[in-house]
Amino acid sequence: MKNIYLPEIAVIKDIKEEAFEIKTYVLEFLNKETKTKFTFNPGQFIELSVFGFGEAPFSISSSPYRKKNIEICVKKAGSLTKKLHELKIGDEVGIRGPYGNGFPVEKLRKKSIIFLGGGIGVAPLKSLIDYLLKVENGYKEMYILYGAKRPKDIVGKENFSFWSKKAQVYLTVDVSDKSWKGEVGPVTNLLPKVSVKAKDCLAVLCGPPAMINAATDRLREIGLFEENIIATLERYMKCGVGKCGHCTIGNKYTCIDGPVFTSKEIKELDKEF
Amino acid sequence: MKNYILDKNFLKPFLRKVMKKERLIAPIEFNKDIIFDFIDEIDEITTNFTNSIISPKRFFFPQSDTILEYEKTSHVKVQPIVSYERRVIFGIRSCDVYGLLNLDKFYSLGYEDIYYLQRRENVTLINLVCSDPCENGFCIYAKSGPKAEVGFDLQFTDLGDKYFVEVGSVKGEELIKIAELFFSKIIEKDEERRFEVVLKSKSCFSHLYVDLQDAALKLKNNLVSENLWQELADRCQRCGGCNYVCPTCTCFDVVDKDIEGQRGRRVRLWDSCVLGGFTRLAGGYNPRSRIEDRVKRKFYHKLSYEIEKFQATSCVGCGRCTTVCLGNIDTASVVRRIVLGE
Repeated sequence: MKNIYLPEIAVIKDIKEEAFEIKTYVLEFLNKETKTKFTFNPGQFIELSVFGFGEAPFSISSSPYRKKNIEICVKKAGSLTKKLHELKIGDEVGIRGPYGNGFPVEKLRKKSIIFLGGGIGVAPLKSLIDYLLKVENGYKEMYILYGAKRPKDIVGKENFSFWSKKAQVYLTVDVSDKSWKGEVGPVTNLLPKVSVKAKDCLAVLCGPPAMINAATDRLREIGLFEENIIATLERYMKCGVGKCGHCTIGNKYTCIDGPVFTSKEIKELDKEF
Repeated sequence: MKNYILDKNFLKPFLRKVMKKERLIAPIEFNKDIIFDFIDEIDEITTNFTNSIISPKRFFFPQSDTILEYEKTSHVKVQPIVSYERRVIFGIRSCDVYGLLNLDKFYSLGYEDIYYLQRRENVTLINLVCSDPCENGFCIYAKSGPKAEVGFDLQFTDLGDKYFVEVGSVKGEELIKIAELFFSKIIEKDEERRFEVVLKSKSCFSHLYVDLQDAALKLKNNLVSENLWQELADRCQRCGGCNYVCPTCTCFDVVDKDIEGQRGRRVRLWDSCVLGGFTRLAGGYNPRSRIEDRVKRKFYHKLSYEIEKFQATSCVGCGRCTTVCLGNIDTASVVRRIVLGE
């Protein structure tokens, strides 16, 4: 019987400062077999061990096409991420996974896609966007709408300039400063910039719950089908394998039934809560 | 499977033989309470009890369980700590046997949990039929007692001067082989007496009827007033006691603890879904910050979702939550109120 709780050791190969208190970690498995065998779908997550500080779930932010290593994007929020932010290149961590269902990439084929991200919520979207840009007929057209609290909170500025060559990219901040020349306001304010055939369009959302709720309402208003509004949810997925119980919503486990749900599914779950 | 008779005078000699081969767990008296514990002295064992305050679940899913050790030297080394010890539990009650059957399904569904399943595989259960039902138990309505129909390896029914022994599995048969001389053949009269003991026990339940199925149906069809959850929330002391004594609660937390220097261990601990921090995220967001939502989900999980998943509620009617709940919102009371449409 496989021990599902046993992490594989990985080494931190690189660390990038992405934004205020947000860093990207490039992780590579020590074990050669694991390194070659490890595959995942965009939207899946790993359980990361920082030994002495426990385990926590993180979306993989790199594309599955990228071999040899994976990336996670981490905001300093609790005790584990605080310690992770102190680690250096060459330090070792543990990885279990990948877990979760991931995004329905087949459903996105040849479709217009609106990405809506808030703050660190761009991490799982990045994996999917990079994947779709590479795969043949992955999408028809792509809009990337992203909002951060302040200009210094924008995660991975160079990603947006890279994506803007192939997609329509719009950024906004809640609170601007002198350096900021762009939009100010919630990310949903960017939706009027999108011109798509609603019935042929899917939206992929990741961000704080208030953003997801507001965006879902607006997307419904402009005519998107509920099953075409897709969100990846953040919950306390302590084990990642449907056992510990912390990530449950109604009768679903975010870690195994999600973390990607359609707006229709979320509405069903919401019935009781 | 065969049935046997074990003279009560042979119980301790039999268990002594068992102890020589495997680790024995049995009920003992501890500070006037009954608990299950590892046995070093055969005379510690008591058979004069209704049920233990905490279920024997902890021998499969301990309250605190080291699942691995790590050492941060030049490379991090991780060593899993899995128990393969062979054990016998004597005196487990039917409700707790059914509790284990529920846990078996949960821990083997999808990803298999090696820590639970290995301990389970290496245990032999000797179930003791309740001839004198406990005050708060309603196993008879949960269809999990006073006598077990499945799940035991051996099942003992107290016939006064002897035990009627049912064999439920190959493991049970093998345990008898350890001390075959103590076991004798049954005669027809023994079967009759066993039948009478169980019948008498069934007639002795003082507990009011608890209709788990009807409550489950009402929950599924959302026929429960929001006021009920509000009232339960007001009464809940947020102590988590119901979860800790429950033979079918499975939730856990995982923490790392330093041993010394660069060594440490990863421990999983019982957790409780009614505690405020249960669903809180590192950033502070808490999807079930309201106690109403936590209490509501607890009962939906135990009674409704479990039927969808495992075709049975996960309440086995042991009545332990009735014993510990300070706010009188134990499963039996809540089920009755749901059924009455309060």
